[in-house]
Amino acid sequence: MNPQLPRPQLSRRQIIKGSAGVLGMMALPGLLSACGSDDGGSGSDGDPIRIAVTSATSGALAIYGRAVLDLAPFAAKYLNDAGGANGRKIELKIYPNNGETADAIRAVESAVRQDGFEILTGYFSSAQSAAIQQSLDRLGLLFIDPDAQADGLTGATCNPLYFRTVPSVSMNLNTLADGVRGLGITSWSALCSDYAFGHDAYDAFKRLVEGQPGTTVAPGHFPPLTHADYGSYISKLLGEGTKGLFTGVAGADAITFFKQASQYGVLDRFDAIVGVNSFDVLVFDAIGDAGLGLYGVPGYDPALDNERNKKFVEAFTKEFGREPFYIEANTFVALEMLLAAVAETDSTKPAALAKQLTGFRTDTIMGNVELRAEDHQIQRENWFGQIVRDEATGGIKWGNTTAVNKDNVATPVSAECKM
Amino acid sequence: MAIQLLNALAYGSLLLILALGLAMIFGLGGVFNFGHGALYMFSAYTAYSLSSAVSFWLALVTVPAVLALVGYLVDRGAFRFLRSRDPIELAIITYGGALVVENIVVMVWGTQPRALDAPAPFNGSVSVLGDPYPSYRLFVIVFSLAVAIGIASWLRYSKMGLHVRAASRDLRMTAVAGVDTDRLNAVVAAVSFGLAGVAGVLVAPYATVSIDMGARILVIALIVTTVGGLGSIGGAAIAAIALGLIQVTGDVNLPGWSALTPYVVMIVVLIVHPRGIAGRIET
Repeated sequence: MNPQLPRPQLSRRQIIKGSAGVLGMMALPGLLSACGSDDGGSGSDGDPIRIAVTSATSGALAIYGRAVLDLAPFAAKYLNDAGGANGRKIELKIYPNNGETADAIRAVESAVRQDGFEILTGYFSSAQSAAIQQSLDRLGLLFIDPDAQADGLTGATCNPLYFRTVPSVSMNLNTLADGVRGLGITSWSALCSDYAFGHDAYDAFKRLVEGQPGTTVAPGHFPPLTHADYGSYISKLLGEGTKGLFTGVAGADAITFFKQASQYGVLDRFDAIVGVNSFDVLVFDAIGDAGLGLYGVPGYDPALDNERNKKFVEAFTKEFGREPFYIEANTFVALEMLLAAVAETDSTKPAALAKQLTGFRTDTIMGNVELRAEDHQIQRENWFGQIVRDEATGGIKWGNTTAVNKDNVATPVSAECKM
Repeated sequence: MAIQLLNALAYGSLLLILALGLAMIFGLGGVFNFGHGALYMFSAYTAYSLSSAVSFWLALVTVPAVLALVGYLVDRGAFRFLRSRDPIELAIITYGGALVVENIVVMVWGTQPRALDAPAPFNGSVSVLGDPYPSYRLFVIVFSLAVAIGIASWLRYSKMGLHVRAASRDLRMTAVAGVDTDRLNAVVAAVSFGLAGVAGVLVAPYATVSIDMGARILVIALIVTTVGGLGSIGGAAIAAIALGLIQVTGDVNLPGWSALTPYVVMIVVLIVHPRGIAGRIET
């Protein structure tokens, strides 16, 4: 049976021309930079603190990018209403990107070259951050990164103008260490997305558990980002016969993987499943009961008992109808630290701010935190937790949360980091 | 091996349904419908809501039907008047339509991904040579192939199918012979939109329902359409299943390269056989 479908009436030249034109249009979200702006309040006493915010609006991590785009104007207004930095107010401009590294670079170039921004934050994958890092000196740009976790960003590729307010992958794995050892599992499989974060996560997990006598980790599986069908990987995981599973997939990928693994009945075959960045409030509804019992790093505890945090959580919940999660909290901490540095220096120039932020210690919603002088990596406590039933809603949530002291979270300064 | 083969068939069947819709509307109307992925995404969200509120099976019937009606109306109200225009203009218009649909979805459902459980009685797994396999995937394979066979039979054995095939060879001569080709184009648009609806509903319990799912799959569906040959349902079927197999085999054996395999396949096929597996593009 091979009946012919309607035959095209167009020439090959027209087909190619049409395809090229529309594929070009598909890149348009990236080209339409600076499509929105928000001054985050008005009435500044001094020069504004101008911050470019770029964030992915498509791709597997777009749910987080969009969350940051929602948070940024709210955070700016919140901090401006609280007085800003000695009267200076935050002024934001949004530069969406399509999730690809090249488009993030394009957005940053646009912010600097066309609009004269000298401070950058937003939502970034590790690949995007690494690429932007290479341009900081040339662009004269200060980059405060609240998201990307690849170890190398504050290691081999560290930069005097780059600061990170999220724990690195290895710091998150240190957070898991005691909890994972306590599980007593001696054979592990691993599945992590195929980008810098995923590979770093696998390497760090392997180092962590193979330090225990008699414990092995099978070769990792690395599906590409935005993978639609994990069936083949799930079949391979089933065949490995291990007792534990480690995952380093995030966002829409985490939902797809756990949903499909649940359909295969794979999740019940492991005694324990541990993930980094795989579970958060934005994916809880979609993962549903397939997530019950999984272990991970919440990355932030909205119940933290300090006045800054209580006020932030109250205002955030009023605005968005839910509590903030780690990406939003890390972004807020980035803005808090930046504001505090501006207040100290009375400057918005990258060189002055970088000097101030190096080794800078200040109060934030996550308590008193430090940007380590040697590599500009935030030093703070972190949390280990388990997904439990939310009795109030019938859904799932983080529970059994344990705070891990910052000294136990910290990793040594990489010898490869040369400022 | 059997599981991997089934995985390839399941993924390939979804691609086939999408590629058929694209090939049909392009074949007769010359419409590069870059909104096809958005229709697929919209259908998945609608299926999510209908399934949560009423029933997946109701969604599987009503969503494609409503989309088919929309397709018919869009052709009568828009495509009909644009057919004489440069194809790039029409393609850009459909891309604009995709952006509109995407924004409607964001307004209605927000940006958070959704997940839908497989419907009973396909919400469990069955044993295939001792390994568990989701029964819903078996349903997807059987249902998709049934739809594809139905479309092929319609084109081959029905009077309207005959008219569609005739018009695709020579639109003017078909019109001169007394066939209402405007109506024919509208019916084909309806079938194409309906197929996007079928694929969207089928995928909702299979993968994550998210805003960017349409754009991601559209590229692969275009590759299937091109590799299969823009004029052949058989070619599209072979290309879809073959790409599914290659993708699954690549995932297992060459994980670092699996994302590139569809593009490599397209390049190789177009070099070796520029018309695709069974296509007849006019040059």
